[in-house]
Amino acid sequence: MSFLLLIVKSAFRNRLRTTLTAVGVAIAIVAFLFLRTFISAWYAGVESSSSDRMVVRNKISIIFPLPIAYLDKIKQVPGVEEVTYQNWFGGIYIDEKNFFAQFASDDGLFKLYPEATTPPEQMQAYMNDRTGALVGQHLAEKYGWKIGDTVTLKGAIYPGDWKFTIRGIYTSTSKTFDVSTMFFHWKYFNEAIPERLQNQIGIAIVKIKSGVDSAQVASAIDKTFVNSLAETRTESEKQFQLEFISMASAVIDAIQVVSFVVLIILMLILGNTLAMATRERTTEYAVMRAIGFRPAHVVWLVLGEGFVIAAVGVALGLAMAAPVLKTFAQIFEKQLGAFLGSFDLDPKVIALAVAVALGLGMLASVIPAWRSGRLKIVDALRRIE
Amino acid sequence: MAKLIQIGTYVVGSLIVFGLIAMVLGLVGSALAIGAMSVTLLVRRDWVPLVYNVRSLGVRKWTSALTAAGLALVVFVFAVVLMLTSGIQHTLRTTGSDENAKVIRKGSQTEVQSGVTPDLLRLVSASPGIAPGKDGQPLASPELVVLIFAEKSNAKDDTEGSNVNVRGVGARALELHPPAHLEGRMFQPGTSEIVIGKGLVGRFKGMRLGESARFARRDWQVVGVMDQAGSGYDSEVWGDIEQFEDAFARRPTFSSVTVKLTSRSAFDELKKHIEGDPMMNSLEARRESEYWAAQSENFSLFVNFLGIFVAVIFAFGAVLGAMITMYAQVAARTREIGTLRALGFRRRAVLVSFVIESVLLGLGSGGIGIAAASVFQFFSFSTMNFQSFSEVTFRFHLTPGIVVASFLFAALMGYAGGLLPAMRAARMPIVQATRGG
Repeated sequence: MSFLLLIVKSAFRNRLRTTLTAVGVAIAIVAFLFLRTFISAWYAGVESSSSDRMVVRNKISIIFPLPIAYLDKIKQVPGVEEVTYQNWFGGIYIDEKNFFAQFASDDGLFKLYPEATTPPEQMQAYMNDRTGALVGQHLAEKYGWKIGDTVTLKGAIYPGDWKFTIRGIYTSTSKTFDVSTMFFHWKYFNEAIPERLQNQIGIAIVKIKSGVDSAQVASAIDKTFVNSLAETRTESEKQFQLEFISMASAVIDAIQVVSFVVLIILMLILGNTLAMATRERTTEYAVMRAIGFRPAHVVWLVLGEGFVIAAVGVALGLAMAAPVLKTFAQIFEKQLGAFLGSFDLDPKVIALAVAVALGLGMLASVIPAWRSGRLKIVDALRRIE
Repeated sequence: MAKLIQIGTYVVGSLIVFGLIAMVLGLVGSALAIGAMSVTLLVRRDWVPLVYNVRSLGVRKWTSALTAAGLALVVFVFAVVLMLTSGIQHTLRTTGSDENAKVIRKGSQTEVQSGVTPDLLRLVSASPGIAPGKDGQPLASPELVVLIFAEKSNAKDDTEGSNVNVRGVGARALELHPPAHLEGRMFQPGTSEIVIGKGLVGRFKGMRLGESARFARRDWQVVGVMDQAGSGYDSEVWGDIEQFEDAFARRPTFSSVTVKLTSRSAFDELKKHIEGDPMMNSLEARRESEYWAAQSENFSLFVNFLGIFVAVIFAFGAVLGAMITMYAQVAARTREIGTLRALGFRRRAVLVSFVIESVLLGLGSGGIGIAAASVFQFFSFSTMNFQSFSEVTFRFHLTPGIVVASFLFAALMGYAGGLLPAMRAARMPIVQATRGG
């Protein structure tokens, strides 16, 4: 017990240095959490994706549409329970920087996504308004939209100014169904676009019957359209989202590397502090050894000190993390908005940060501890300074 | 809990903002004061010799090295991020020329989104300001651009891939943008042959000279690898426009028309003509250079922002590391400081000396960081450009501006870390200091 007290006491002997080091560790922890949360935000949709939904897209790439006639054929494939569809709209709201997803969607789409909820009267109002729109809660908050507001989008793929009236605001219990999206009626969209583009769908979303093999259904759907002008590629919701992540993999990898660089910096700061502390106390350690402490005691004293400082830094970092990240997310909404989402800290990420930081704290003290444990009492006592 | 976070957010937010303002003011103010002091020291010739600082750093090798390593890592990240964005911008800027113009549908952000019909092509070709090609006809090149989902060659499963730009071109496009170097040969019009940019080689399935890539229900023979001098075309697949129109079922529309201007200034005339003609008011003309620069604007802003943000957070950590080291130096050298003062050096001389030592540490680390970052010049980086939704390959691009910025950043970190310890050193009373504290 008194040995533990000794560890804590020696950790706080040079208060200024310990404080600076702990703050350094805390900053590193916040940076690590920021980067890791950023990465996990990318994968959020993948993890919570549903296994009974599949996405059918044109085999060439997502920019090519499918004829609407495919829907009936897909419905006839054994194992398929329901089919819905949507088109990417790609409109610009005032400025290109205000990026958010907009879909012209089949009215049946929401039935396939029980995770999204809209108040029934709002949904009814949406269904009754040909040019109505449903927007996600996050989107509505971001632009201060209220029900009844008119939103004008400038079409980038489908030319012209498109006016929509917000009829409902939906919420979602799952990250698969993003709350920063705008939906409007596919029927209205289809009538308003040039004739040669009509009756084509961007993707079909298929709900499969429970208990059937999804891979089998997927290949059955693709087989139906093989050698037709628009061949299909059917994949699970998870695979569909992984495709998008894979495209950005280089950026994600880079962020991952950088998140480890910050840990190296953490180790350097901590290691430096401990190296200085132990050098100053060489004589003391020698005295301790002379009065009967074993080398192991000295080693543990130094390791423990590293652990205590790291722990203080980690605690400080965790206390700061949530407010700091929220603050940054708010300040830099404009620059990063589309990529950040709500920026909630994932308990798994926090656990990783704590484990890694404490582990590295110990690791950083290994060399100073080893050197202190090895010192010869006579030499150390003879040393001046 | 949520409320707590919210309150915390406001508190931390204002603390951060005020803290940053105070820090900037403090650093600028002190830098001015110290600058003035240095001038007076120089004039009166009583500064502490620089050799003293350099040797002092050398005496405590390990501590100096650990601190320098931390600072160098930060400078490294800082420089690499700047090289990354400068690489993206450089690539897309060199893709377009000021002497060409691109005509796309009004409101479209990319060629992929755009559509131009053959009758509009005829009207565009007949517009003023277009230079004649080799055949004497106006040099206007209709191009078809689509995205294909290409599987990566090292993919573990078929979801690992990316969108690749596929450009259908005719003889005129090759006249406008001839490859700087072509390995193999150009595709034969009327066949399923393609030429790929050198940035794609080996990265996607079938994208190698002599192999064939499968998309749009056909196998396309790769007969050439083109080097387009580091431009965006190096990440594209080029083939016969007629073949692509059939394969992608896009007949009869093109994506864009690129024209050669008679001169740089002919652009305004062309733009006025196209946008003023009621037959062509669904189109818009952009300078080709501006079109390509716009393709990277938001993406490089995003990368830059994220990178600089991270580098600045790291910098705080590294500055703390430098501060710890410098405080330790001051503590360990109490007697030396006393001696310096006893020899007649003024307080301000001691202050400037320690600040310089810390800045030297920063500059040295900066040199190491930049040297490490410069190795990245030999690597290229491929990623999805969120804005154009397609793959782009570019080199890390080191410019003199980046070197200067990185050294300034390093010096600033050294300065910020050394200021407070230096003030402690300068404030020590002589008698106490000579006694060793």
